[in-house]
Amino acid sequence: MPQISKLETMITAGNFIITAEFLPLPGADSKAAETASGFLKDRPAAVNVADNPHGPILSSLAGSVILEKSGIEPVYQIVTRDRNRIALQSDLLGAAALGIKNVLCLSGHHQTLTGSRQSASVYDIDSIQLLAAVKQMNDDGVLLDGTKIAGDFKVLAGAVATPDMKPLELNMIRLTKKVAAGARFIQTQAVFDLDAFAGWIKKANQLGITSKTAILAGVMPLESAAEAESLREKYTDLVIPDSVIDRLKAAGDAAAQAKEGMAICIETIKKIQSLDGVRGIHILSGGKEHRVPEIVKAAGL
Amino acid sequence: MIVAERKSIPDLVEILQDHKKILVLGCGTCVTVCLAGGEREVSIISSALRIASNIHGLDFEIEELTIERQCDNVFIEEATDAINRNDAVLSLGCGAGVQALAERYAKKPIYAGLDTAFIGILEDRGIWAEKCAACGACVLHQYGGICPITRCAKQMLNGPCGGSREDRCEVRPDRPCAWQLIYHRLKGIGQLERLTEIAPPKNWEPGHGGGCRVIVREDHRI
Amino acid sequence: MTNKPLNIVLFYCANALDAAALRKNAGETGADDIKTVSLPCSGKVNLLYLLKAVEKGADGVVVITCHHGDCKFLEGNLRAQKRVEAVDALLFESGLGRGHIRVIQKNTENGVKHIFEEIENFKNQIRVSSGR
Repeated sequence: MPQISKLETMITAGNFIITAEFLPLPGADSKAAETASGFLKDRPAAVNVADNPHGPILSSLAGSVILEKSGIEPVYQIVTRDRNRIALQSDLLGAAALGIKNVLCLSGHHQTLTGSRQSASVYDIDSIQLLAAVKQMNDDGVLLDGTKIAGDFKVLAGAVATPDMKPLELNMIRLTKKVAAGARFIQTQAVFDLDAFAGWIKKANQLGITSKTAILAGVMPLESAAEAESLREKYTDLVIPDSVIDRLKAAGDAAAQAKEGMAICIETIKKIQSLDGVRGIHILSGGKEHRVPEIVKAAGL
Repeated sequence: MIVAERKSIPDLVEILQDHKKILVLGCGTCVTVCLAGGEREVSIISSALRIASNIHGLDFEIEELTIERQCDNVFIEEATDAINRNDAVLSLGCGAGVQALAERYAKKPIYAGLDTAFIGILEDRGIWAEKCAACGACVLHQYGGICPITRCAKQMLNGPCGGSREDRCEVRPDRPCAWQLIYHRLKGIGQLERLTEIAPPKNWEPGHGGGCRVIVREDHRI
Repeated sequence: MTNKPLNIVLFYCANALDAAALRKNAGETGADDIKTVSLPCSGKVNLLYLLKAVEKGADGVVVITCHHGDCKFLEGNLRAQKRVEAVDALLFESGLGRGHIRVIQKNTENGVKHIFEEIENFKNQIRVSSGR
């Protein structure tokens, strides 16, 4: 039987879980990935490897393997944007064969929001259908077309959620379906509006969702008010309230703003930790992996 | 209807520059309704091409004609004389019209003067919006009559993506999120439970995924 | 500049201007050939009228509209403005460049005089842009 991942063990044991994000570079040098992985070694239980969020970079499968070799347990991210069901299942089999034990199923930023906006649209299946496909591969040992998988196949599947997405009823329908489709853990988009997040997790508790899946709240250190404004302008799944931007602006120069961004991140972690239903923290580094150890230390994780 | 937009005059000049006698051929059906390739647009584009010809010294001789329907051989017949007396045809029909002409007149260059865009409706004066992706296996009954394949940028079948906002789509800020519309519509007609079931992967074979499509009706083939 | 006579076509709204006065002024603009076309409303003008004028040799086309807010048919003058913009864009695409067509809005205080001042400005602008 394939080994159970560290992440799965922690989910089952009820531990407080820290995960972080690794954004590979648009390059073929595995050294760069190894350097970044150095910052991620100590604390996170597992590290996500982003799947081309802004355009082509080193593949998330290769990045996951590099992390695995460096002694870090990867969460292999797979978006449904670029690959049809043939490629997705093939990559899943390949990943499992290379020792990958965790996958995160998501639809991904639409191609027009990346640097490759002229790309064809694939979206053969959606993120929930991908989760269900992984579940079928895990539970029944068969692929979507009914082909029996040769040998063992076992991965831990997770999904993403956007607590800020309204209306809450629609948000919960989607979250419920993700869990029903096999998401054993949920990593959220970065949280900046604590009240909205508290309302969302409370609802998830009431619906019994938090007892069926491990919710890891996303946090992200903002570098500056300008970065925050540009991010929320481009990505509607990233809701950054004006109060956060005002606080960054009020901090002063670039160095002071970065420091304030870090302070906001730490405060957010501390507040989120106390909420019922939160099983961990997911640190979205956005390519700034070197900041992860600082966050872990300052937040006392 | 099929909605199209005219190509730019510089693009048309580049396409037509090696010809002298040109028939600009309009279509009286969809492209007339969407104000892209009917009789009026034939006159406007022809006039602009004459002005361009004059400025660029191209010597175009342009004839104008509009037939009822370019995608139908019965109507194409009416254009035969005009097509024969010109060197080339600039069709202001949709992509189907252009190809119907090309299949019928083997030795005549037939060019597309429009970019065929989508199947849609006139949403408001001067605004046409896409509504159908012609996927070949309609799912509208499951989604309150709002098509997630056409109107969701990620053609998600199980709910919105994280970028959904109550007033807009993440990808197209000028458009509503289809999933917000589906949610409110299903709720309004008392069918919200349709959203709680997991929709399986769609069979794309009846759509373009199965190759160029043809429908055969044996009862009409006698 | 060679001062070669210009061909100008004036489309005007019959509610905005007195036809006789317009023709009289049009006849007093020197060697330039000014044709006038009366419209029941400037909103009646369409892309083809305007393009045809250029195609048949006009160096410039003017659409004279009522003052904004004064259109007898409420928004005819607004439509005329949009159509002139569309033709300006088409003429640009055709290689003629911009500025060969414009709207002159009737000025409520000094009607025809203001219009002909604007027409003179327009003609000078065309002379400059076309090197005449």
